[in-house]
Amino acid sequence: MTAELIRLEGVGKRYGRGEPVLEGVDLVVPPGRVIGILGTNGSGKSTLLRILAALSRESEGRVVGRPRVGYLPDRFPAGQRMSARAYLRHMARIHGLADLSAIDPLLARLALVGGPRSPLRTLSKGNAQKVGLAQAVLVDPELLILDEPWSGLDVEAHAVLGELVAETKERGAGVVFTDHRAPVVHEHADEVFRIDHGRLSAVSSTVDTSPAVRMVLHGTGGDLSAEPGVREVVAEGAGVVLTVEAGNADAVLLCALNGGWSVREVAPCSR
Amino acid sequence: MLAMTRYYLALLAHSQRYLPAVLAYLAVNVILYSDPRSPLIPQYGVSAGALLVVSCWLTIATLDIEDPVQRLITFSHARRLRAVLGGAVLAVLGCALVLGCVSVVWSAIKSGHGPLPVLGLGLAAHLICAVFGIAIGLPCSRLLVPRVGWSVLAAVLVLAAVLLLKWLPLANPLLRAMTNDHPLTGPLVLAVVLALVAIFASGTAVGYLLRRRA
Repeated sequence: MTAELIRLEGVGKRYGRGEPVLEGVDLVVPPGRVIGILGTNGSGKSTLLRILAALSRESEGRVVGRPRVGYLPDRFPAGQRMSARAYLRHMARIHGLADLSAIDPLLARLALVGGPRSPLRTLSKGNAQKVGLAQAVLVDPELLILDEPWSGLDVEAHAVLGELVAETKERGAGVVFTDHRAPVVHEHADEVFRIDHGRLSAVSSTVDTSPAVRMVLHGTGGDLSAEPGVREVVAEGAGVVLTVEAGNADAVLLCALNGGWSVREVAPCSR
Repeated sequence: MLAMTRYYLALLAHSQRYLPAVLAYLAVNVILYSDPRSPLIPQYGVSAGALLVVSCWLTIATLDIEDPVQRLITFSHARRLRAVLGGAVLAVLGCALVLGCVSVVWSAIKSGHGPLPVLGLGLAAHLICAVFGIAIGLPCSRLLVPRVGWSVLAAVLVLAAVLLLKWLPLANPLLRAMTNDHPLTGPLVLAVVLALVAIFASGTAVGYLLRRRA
């Protein structure tokens, strides 16, 4: 097995003449490793995953390697009358898989409500996401690419997804997934990266267990991500949720108020 | 590519988007082949022209069923754009072959005097027109034109040009020769060559533009 499945060298992406979505991204995905990418909405996570899956072309830089991928987008648009089983059979055949016997056990493991015969269009968001997950892992890809896979899944399916990621890693395949929640990423990833405004940077994969404070801010203030002690900024509705080191909480609060934010909630958080 | 073809046929069958076009085509056939004394070749010219429109419809309908995000998943499994486009082309061509056979067999039954070479010529003309229809449908589909209204408008304009403009030597020379009882060898050979060029050029252009936009 090669030392790397895919390598991105200085990859940038720009749609038309717009602002760059990705800039100077360097990333190596080795076999048997799980890479978690942390980022807020619009930070470039999905574009990066599409480039890894060879579904989008880089505008700058170079992509070396083209492994067989299983790809799950952040939402699985299940609008057809075709049954879940039939859809998965088609995807497996298109991928070149001859043995289709793994489909029903996989759907049973994911506890698909209604069973394999359920038409895709009748599935709830969570159940559609399970079918989306099944099509990605079913084909035993060399590189499993999951865009916010935990969102929309029920708690039982969270555990199964964790197992599937671990099993994929154990058989020597690579996994790249994204999420906007730091604890989720740290729990499942061997290597963690943060993507912010299209720039990727490595993050320590050990979880910072020092006391932290969660702040919910509303309104349209300035960017607080660069303030000292700010671990995470997540856009949520009409505002943002910050995770801030406890020692810097007062300074960040003052900065937020001066910057035009309205403070709705301040509470200690476990991580 | 055959797996892609099966998938697209299944999508089309489940969606029932083929029904309006197929029913309209069958209605044209019922009216066209009602008189057993009418000569077959001019009638084939009309139903082949109708099949050109139906094939364009079926191509657009087939490629419009998948949501763009779901199409990404299909692309990730197929790995080659050629397989995806080729699968769609084969699926529609299969449907067109069935419809062309329906026309030819129906006309033979109704007229009771269809010699084999004439029936063969009829089927060939239908398939050639179907290929032109698919070549028009590919770039007019959701692959390149995201909104249905613009898709329909673009397809109607190109179809009208291909069917009606005499100086556009695609399907028009063959259909005119058939409906006016002119010699067919030259227009038929020309149409075969141009149909193959058209489908290849259409597929290549759509593939290039899709890769550029990705």
